[in-house]
Amino acid sequence: MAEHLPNDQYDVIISSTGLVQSLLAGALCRVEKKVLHLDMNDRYGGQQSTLNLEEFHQFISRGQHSTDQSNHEKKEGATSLTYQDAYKILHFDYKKKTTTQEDTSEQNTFRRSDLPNDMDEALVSQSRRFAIDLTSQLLFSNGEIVQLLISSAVGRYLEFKCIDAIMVYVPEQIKKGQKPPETLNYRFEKVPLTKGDIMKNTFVSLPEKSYLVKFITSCMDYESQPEFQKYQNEPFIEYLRAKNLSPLLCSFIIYAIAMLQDEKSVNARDGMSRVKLFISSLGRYGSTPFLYPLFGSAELNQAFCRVAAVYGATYVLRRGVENVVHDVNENVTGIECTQGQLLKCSSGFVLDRDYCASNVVVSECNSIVRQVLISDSALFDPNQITGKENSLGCAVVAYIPPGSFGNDQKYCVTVMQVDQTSSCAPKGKFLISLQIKRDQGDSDEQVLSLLKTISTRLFESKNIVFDDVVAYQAVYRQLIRSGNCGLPAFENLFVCDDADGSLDYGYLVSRAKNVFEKLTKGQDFEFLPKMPNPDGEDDQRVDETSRLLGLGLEEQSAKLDQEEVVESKDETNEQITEEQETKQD
Amino acid sequence: MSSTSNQQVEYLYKILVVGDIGTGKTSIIKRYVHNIFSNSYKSTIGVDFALKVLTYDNNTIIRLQLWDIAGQERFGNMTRVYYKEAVGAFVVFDVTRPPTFDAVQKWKTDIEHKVFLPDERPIPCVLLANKSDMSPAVDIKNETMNNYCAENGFVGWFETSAKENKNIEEAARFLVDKILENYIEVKQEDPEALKIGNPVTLEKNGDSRNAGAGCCGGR
Repeated sequence: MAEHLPNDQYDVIISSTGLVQSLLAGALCRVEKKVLHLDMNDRYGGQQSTLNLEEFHQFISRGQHSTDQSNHEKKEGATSLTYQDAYKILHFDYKKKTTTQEDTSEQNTFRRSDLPNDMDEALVSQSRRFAIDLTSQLLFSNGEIVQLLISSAVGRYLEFKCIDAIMVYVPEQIKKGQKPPETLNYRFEKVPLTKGDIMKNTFVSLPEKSYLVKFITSCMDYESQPEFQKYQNEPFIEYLRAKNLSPLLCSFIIYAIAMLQDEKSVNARDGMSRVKLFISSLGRYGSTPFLYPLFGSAELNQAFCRVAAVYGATYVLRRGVENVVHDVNENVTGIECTQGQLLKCSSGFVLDRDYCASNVVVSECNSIVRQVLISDSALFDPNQITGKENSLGCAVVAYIPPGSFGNDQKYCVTVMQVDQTSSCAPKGKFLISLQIKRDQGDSDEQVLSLLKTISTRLFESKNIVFDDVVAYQAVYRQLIRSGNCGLPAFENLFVCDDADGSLDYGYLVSRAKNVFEKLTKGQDFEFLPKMPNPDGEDDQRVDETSRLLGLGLEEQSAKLDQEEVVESKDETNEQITEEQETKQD
Repeated sequence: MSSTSNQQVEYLYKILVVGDIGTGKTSIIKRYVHNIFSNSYKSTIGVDFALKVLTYDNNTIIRLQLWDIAGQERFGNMTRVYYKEAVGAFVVFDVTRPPTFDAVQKWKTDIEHKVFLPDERPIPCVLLANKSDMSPAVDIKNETMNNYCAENGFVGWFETSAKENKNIEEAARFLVDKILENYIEVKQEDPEALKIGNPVTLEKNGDSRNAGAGCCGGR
């Protein structure tokens, strides 16, 4: 595969297939830019990669890798790049195979050498059925990325699972007049989001219910309210308290709705704009505002890369970048890739943070620490979550507010559970991830032990022994690098910052649009216009095909609008599911 | 999924068409779908897939989505979006250029790694020895090719010519037969594997156009 590219002239060269880069590649190709898209890995996705178990284990069990700058020769008109691994593996462990499995393993044709020999056979044989995200992210149903997927028609490549429930870890509620117990019992409670949910909820008290309904209905035009104007620069929590919301409701709003890491760092203005985005995404596709791509996050990246490829981009995986080549005017004119070939770009070069190590001191970076578990047992029981017997599975996102597990827990822990209904795990297995922000000064060991304690205790509270059900676990740290990248400030060099650790894609989409505008300055191009009908290459022929396809594009979007008008589709959705289930029976 | 009107059943199948650059993938698709052929070669830009509607028998209509590989083909780096939910594949080589035949194995392995049926079996692949209107530089004698197919897991092979419209309908029909066999087997074995839960598509009305009429495995 070490072959040279037949063509060495491009408009834009992009390195890494992270989401910002994939969006850019798709958008640039749609306006007929000539794009070369490289990735040093042999997979698509960059930081949003989704791996099967075998690939994930390779990722987890490899050493750190980096390039040593001293090996580079200094060249005139070129700046050499230093690779920095954004990940550090803190821990991994897996279920070993039993002795009875030993005998059969050699006959198993699916056995592949890249998983350890002593790994449980059930895991090994199902390796391909796992889709493990390196970064947890979700799509707001009404967020920019979904609007983009619809307006560009790229969404037709994808299917989604609507998150079934949002949970918050809260202490039991003390009724008025009751003496508080010495230690509070915590448990996960579902955040009620629709009016029906709020009324049915038995955990939230009656007065709280009316406050919550009032809060949700008022937040579409919160800006005009006098209370907000008074508090907009005050801490978000003060504003919520001023609205008479109980500590329980404040927890729901701060962690589950505004999705903040702690209650101090955000003012009311920012807090409410996050609440508004959340509320405006409610009821579009299901009972929570979130969609998750079937087969994992990297599907999104790949959908945009496919668009780019269909419109002429050249894709080369397993190829990194060694040097950035520039002229005397400090304009990037090309790159030298890891195969030594010089490739020229006339408009610009888009580079991933991974290549800008020279100026980054790891201990001064914020990061995310993430624990990934493969479990035989769910933390959130699908039957309970979906309210159906014999439920096939569910997708849940849950929050553990800071301090729930002692003072060491400075930030909110985000928990995600997915399974076969998101096409991310084989039947009967659950993929659970816990993640928490780690400050620059914190020790890895401390965060590691905190996450281990939390996950163990969560299973314990369900009377399940962690080691009995968890077949695979890994904990790793992921850097969030931003700011000065240490490279000279070439005007046509665009460095993509790391994902900022938030669940939604807003930041990444705005970043891609921003770079797109700069790269196409003065040309007034639309960012990802609608893709034509796949079979529309032959417009004159009104053949059997188009007759059977039936619907023109305009008709389609009209239908889509109608869908959006339907406000609460919970009931219809359930009916559809039931019908389908009976059919399957 | 399938819909019934007047007892008629409709299936929608996604088929991959892979092979080295310039082996005639696009020509085969154009010949099969639109019955046209052009000698001038241009690489495929802006086309995702082509659709062919096949009246299989009196009760069965089959809509085939033929997915051409796009500009990235030379390096064999297709996205999962390309592979997912495919239920069959054509691997094409050019009989006049032996290196394109050497690459067949690489394409076949790639398919095996990236897509499979719900029961983990590979999807049926048919090998097409294209440009057979010209004098072959690859040994495509019956015995050699039959052995090759058996060894490399192809369900069959055809000597085709997009230019002379030779064997293309036949090859497609053959592949559809194999797909239908699988579909029926899978349905009997594991009805649950067909569609789990109730996935959301952003363009809901597009459901009927989505590929993977149930008979699909991921990854």
